[in-house]
Amino acid sequence: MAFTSVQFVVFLLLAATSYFLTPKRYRWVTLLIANYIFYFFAGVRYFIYLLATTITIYFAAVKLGNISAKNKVDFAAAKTALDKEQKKAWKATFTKKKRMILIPALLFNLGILAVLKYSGFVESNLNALFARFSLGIEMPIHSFLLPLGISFYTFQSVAYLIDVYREKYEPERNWAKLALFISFFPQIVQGPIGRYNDLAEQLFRPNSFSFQRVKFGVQLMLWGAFKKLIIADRAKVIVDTIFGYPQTFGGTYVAVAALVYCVQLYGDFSGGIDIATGAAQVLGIQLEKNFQRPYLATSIPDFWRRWHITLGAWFRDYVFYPLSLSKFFMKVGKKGRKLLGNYIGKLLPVLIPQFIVFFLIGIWHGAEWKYIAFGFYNGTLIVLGILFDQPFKKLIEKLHIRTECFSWHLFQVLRTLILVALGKIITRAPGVGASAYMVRSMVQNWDGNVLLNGGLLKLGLDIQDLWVLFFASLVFLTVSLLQESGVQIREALSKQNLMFRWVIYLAAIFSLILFGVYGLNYNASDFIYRGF
Amino acid sequence: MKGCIKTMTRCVAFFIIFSMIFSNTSDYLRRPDDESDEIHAFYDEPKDSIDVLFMGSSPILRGVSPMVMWKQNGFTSYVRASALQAPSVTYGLLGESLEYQSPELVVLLCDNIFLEFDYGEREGDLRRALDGMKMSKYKFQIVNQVIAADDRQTLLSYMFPLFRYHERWKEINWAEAEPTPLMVHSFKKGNVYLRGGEPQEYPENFMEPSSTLAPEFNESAKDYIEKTINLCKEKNISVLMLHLPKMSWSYEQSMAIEDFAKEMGVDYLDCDREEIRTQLNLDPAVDYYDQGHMNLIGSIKLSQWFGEYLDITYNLPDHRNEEAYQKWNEDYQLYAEKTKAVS
Repeated sequence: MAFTSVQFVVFLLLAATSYFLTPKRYRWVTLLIANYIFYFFAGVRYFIYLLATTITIYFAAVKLGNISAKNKVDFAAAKTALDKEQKKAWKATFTKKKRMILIPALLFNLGILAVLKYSGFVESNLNALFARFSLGIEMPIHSFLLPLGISFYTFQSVAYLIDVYREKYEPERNWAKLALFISFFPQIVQGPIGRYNDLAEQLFRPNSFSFQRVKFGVQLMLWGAFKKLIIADRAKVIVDTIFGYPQTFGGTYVAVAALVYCVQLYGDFSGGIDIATGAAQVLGIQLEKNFQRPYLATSIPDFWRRWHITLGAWFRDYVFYPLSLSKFFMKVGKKGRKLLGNYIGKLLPVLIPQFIVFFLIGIWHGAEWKYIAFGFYNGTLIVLGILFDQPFKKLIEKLHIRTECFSWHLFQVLRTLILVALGKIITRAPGVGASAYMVRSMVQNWDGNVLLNGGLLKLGLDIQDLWVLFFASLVFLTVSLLQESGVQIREALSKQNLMFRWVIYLAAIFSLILFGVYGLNYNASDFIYRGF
Repeated sequence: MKGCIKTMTRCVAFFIIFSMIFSNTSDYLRRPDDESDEIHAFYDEPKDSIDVLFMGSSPILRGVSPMVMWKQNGFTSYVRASALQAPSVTYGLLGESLEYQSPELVVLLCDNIFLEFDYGEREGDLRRALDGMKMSKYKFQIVNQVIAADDRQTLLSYMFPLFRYHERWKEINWAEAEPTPLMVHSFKKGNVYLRGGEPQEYPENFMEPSSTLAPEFNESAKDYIEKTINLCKEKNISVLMLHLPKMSWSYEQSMAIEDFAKEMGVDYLDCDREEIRTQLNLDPAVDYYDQGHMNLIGSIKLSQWFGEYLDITYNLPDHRNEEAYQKWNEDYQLYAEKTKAVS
């Protein structure tokens, strides 16, 4: 059930109506039923995976909670009789007990994800390796259809389990309530990845109907649909044409494709997230922010703080910090200082985990070498950014470059955008070789004339569609700039006169109806991040 | 409570404004189509005022003129046909028509019994009929079949064709654009005639028995034609299975349908049979638009003969002097004026 389909609108309408008509005490149950109906629509056979995750995470978390509770009582009773060493040993035993629960649960759930998502990739690469060394071994290559939202609900569940392990909060002892948290339908498809302490209370409490909130939710959904159907799906035509035939198009076209792909991907993903957030808002639930005008970022780390925020935060909290603060990397830091000097050695416990995180972010996007290359590309940029931060600052000082002005800010934004666009070429091109070829052609085969002599009309969109894409992107940019300067669009709109508001609403609705890319003349395209 | 009423009122007002703009935009962007218009204009006929319904695809749409029959024989009829109409559409269209009218006779063109209808490929043809139909359980059933066969198509786009034609804003010259709502009343009563055409010749050995076997009936088409006939039987309506003149027809096909009609217990008339062709006295050089359709001259000639045939065979009523049917006389005047050069 695609977010931009009529079925989803009808489903949301029915779910919301049922939710608000249910007695307050049972509203969360209605929501759970709605979640499972939504998931059933995606395919009954995938339901088993969701159920397996829910059951294992539930029992593991409850067991962890029980161990912690018992430990508190036991430790309180015994601590006066224990010396420092004994307390340390007690803690180690307690941690070991908990890890005996945590690690199998993590392995099981991340294992499902890994097997379904990466087994084909691993097998085909092993086969290639075996063939290279003429070992005469050929493994069967498995290809699984991914259950809807598996990356998202697995990450959300794993985060919950780790937080319970860290005793950040008590485990949920009601199985059905945990099931609701894991399967909340607006976010299960493509995020944002929710945290239990933010989301659970909102899901379990009986939210009341609020016309204002529903209105804001619907407005956000409309805006999401605008970005997806008018911008992203129209941009897709150009992107598919150029990336589909990288040898045919010269460097100027590649630059256009990279830029348009940036627009497409952002419109597609943030559009989907806006629809999810709006749908949740209709039900009285505020999802976490997943984007903050990423293309206005002034550096690559800044970009990653603004793009897919919840995924970045997940990797920060559950991969980066545990690695960076681990005993192993502390030792690496110490050794590094001896071998490479104080400056680099001190940075090693940050740089290596950063690199690992971006490698993981890369393969999270897909089981292909190009995604690994994408991870390395971003990891390298981040590492170089950290390493050359101080020398670069000194250089700026020496050259007397003003950094507190618009032109410097604009330079930073454009520089970041170019680096991001180059990264997008890696993920969108058919392969690593093709992306290298395309980047090379941007340097060697540049012909600016194609932008003026009708070259853009050869990319699958006619002139009217190009104008629609241009104006819609302009609206998108204007809204982003307003938001960046602190304007709350929906709140500002709600303060306007009725007639003005209605004109805006009707213009938005009819823009979608008339200019949306849907129907028989277009190939329906799914949300890109739904595939991750 | 007061706030609630205010909100509700605003929602209703917004919905009304939205609907008005939506409807108007639909009329601007609709793909104008004579066949959809004629299908739609059927609803304007007074209830239970039609004696004969003609159902089927383009040969009957182009070839049968209810107005000629009215002038000559005085019975009322309506053509609810469209180009390459799928038998499933014919069934639904007839079911819907019988909610409005109680005809004495249904004439069913059933050449399509041999064809496999591809709902995905033939979306344009489907829409000629469906865009003219009001939303009803019959239309819903047809659309459901279409969607089941072709998942690119949606119920919504058949309920509100704007969702299908939304991208036509690119084709329209907005400076001269005018809304083109579906036609409300038709003086042609469903007939969409064609002027001009290319001179034709009958193929060699046309309609002579040969050693070639008739093609198999398409199972789905046959099922729907059976259902259509059974629907008429349930309502005590006579059925005439019909084949109208066209060059690509064979004796074996004709015999196969005759056998089928016998099996179903209904009449069959094949206008390409030698004895009928002689009576019709059609001139292939003048009366055909192309190999499969009559032009206006041919349709008038055919309708005169066919009207007489139906009147005698089925003893149809003559309403020409009845007060309630005066609109038919007015419509005929218009028809005569439009076709003056020919008749």
